[in-house]
Amino acid sequence: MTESSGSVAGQAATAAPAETSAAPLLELQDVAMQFGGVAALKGISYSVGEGIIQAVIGPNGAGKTTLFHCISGLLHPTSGSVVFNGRVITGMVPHEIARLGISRTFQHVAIFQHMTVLENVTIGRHPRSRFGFLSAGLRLPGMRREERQIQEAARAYLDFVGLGDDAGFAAGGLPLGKQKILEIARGLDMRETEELGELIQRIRGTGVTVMLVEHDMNLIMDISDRILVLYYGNYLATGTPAEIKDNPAVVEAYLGQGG
Amino acid sequence: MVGSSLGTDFLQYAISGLTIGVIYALVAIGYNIIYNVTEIINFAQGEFVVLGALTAVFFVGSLHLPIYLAFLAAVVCTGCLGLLMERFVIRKARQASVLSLIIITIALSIMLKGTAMLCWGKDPYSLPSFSGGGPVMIGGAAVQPQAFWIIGVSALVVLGLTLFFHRSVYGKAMLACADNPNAARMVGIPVQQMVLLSFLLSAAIGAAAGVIITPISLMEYDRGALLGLKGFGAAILGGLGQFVGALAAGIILGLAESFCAGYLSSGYKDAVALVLLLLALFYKPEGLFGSGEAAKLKRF
Amino acid sequence: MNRKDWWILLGASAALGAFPWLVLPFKAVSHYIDVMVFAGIFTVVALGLSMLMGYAGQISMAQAAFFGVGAYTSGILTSKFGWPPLAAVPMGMVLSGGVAWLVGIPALRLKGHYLAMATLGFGVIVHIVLSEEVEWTGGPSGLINIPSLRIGPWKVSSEISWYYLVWVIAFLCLVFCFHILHSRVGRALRAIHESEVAAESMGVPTARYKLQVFVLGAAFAALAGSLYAHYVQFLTPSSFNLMWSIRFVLMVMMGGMQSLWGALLGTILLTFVGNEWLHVFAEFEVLVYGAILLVVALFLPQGLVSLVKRHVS
Repeated sequence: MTESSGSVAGQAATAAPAETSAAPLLELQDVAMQFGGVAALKGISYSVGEGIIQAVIGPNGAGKTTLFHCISGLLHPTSGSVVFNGRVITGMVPHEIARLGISRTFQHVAIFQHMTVLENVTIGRHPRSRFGFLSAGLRLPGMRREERQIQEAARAYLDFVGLGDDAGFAAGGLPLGKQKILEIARGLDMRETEELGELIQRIRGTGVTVMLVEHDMNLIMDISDRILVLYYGNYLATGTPAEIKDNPAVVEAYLGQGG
Repeated sequence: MVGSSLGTDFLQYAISGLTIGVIYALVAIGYNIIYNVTEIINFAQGEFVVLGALTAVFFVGSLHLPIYLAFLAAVVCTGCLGLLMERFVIRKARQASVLSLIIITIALSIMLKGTAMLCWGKDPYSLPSFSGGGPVMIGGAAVQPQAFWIIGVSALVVLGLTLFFHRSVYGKAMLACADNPNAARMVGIPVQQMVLLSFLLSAAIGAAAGVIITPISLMEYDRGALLGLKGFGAAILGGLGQFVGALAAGIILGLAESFCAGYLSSGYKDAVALVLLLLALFYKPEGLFGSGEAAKLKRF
Repeated sequence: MNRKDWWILLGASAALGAFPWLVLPFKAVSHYIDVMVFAGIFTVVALGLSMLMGYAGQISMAQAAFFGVGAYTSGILTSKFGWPPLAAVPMGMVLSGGVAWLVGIPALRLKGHYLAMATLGFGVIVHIVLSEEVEWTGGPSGLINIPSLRIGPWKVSSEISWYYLVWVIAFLCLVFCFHILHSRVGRALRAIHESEVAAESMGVPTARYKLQVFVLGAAFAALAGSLYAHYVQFLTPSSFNLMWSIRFVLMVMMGGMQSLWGALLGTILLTFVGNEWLHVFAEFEVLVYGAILLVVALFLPQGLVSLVKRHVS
């Protein structure tokens, strides 16, 4: 499992599936967060099922980023607890949580803007490949084989997320939505599974759970299975994209904000 | 007899270390002023010292000005040079990458050095002492009267700057620019003028250092790089941005160099300050008197 | 290397291969071969520096020092200890790489201005050592009696043979660098350049890679230094001073920092500027150098190659 660390607010988290569990993968139990006198989260209870794409939306200041900080351990909630795979993870530090199988990607720092889309994905495999300066410079046979595998896997992941056509472009030139998807593709590549086929099956079947925060509504509506709506630290609504689209409270929350 | 001669040597080395040390301190202060306002390290700092000295040579040698007038004229001229440098080069590169900025100030230093060589040739020059009279004997060591001038002028500069930055509105405004230029702009501080002022001040102080040291140690066109490096060593060792720290660190470097030249090897005396610079950079980049916490906040 | 780079390589090899036969018949320019030998030697330095500075984003103002360590190791071992040049060359690379490794561990924790100053200071220290250790280096008056290179039965002595030898080595180094760039290592280096935090979080051991590419740059510089020593057969510390470090940086910057071809182009151009055309300016040489550096840094930070690219697209 992998861990991304950094200082910028997190926007998406992928989590590995539990081995044996019927219970929800991630459970928020009355999670609240106070900053001085300001309540950023006012007691959120929610369950994230396995193998789905879970979006968290809400107007600015709704508490989305704070919620992600609480899940990944960058912040410890003032009260309430976060349960992952039946285990309370509140109070753990980020890399411990990461080891349990929650890997997190970041909003700003993680895309290498001047590298191509394909190169960005290949970076994800860095920890699991081994050849260094000399063998690379001399293009030793073993290194070439490994390089071919890296390239093939990366291309496959890109095709899988639908970015295959953008492989050769500079990542910084992609629209923001696609950059997010790129991060997910790279997140896939960082996982320890060697076999692509097996991985895809696992994503489709038992599935990696993806939890994301996003402002681009079209993207959210396209890719998420479930959506959680926050509003000034409160739970507002939950449902499928279609349900959320028609929910008057949600519409008002967004419109009431004046855009 | 031998004992007293040993003691005399020691005193002699200490005094010459002190004199050269305060010069390094002045160079360091030049770095600090520009750094405090812009967070740029000006690699041409050493050249200000050389140009200050050589313009004073011109004023004394060709225009026959008395030394103190030449001192003032050289300081003003070099200060204006710093001003021009900021106005016409540095300002154009404010958005450039750190790497480009490094290269730009290095390029400026090469150009200043080249100009100095064209104007004054490769010979070393001297200047008359600020006051006449023979050496003063202190505890058996001969002290040039100029040494008192050097120490006096440096003390005045450090005192003046400390007051300026901590007491005067202008000084505080300059510090605010480095802290957060946008916020400074919002409260009505003319950031651009402050940057200009910092280059002016820094060049002027470098020039002053050059003029006061030349009666003792001569000056030639290519001394800038080494003076600059050693001055930077003092700036780092004292904690970048700190004036009193720079003074103390400059003196430490000067003493180390002087004792090395006296007791170990004169050939390696230049290396001493550089080794100390590297050690400071590697193991104590916040300086002897700076806090590690504050150092983390600095952008390099 | 991708297809385009192979084609450029082919074209460049053809051009450089034909070059001596084009200039030899003309007396006025026949000494250009000598200039090009130096250009080839400096290209090796510039390639290493381009990897370090252009791709990994770490500045070094000490390349002349590593160049000098290689040159003097070769020079001293062959002239004073009778080593065969072919054994002295790798020794210089190992020594220089070792020094880079020792200095790099603390130095590469620094960034930007601080790293520049630290490498600058280190370079000046090496220069002082070269000048002061008269017993070994001959000091400012120079190290003499360095033999020419001998590879098996082939004694490399004529300008033409040096020309081809040096450029073959330079191109091998170029291909070596290209291969690194198109591997996980190269991608990791570029990731470090963009954001060390992000690279680290993707599992790239940033400190180790920075150190390794620093050592690579030093070893390349040392290789070039050895070639220089055996070609010129005479060394003085002034060939390894601060000004030379700055020249190497300019060679890389002028052509284009993020392009190995740029390093090659910049080096050839600046070697001609330095060895040939600047003699016209004589005393103005330093001034002209500073001006070029300033113009490039201010107006052409991506180098000449960026002009070509802009023109093509």
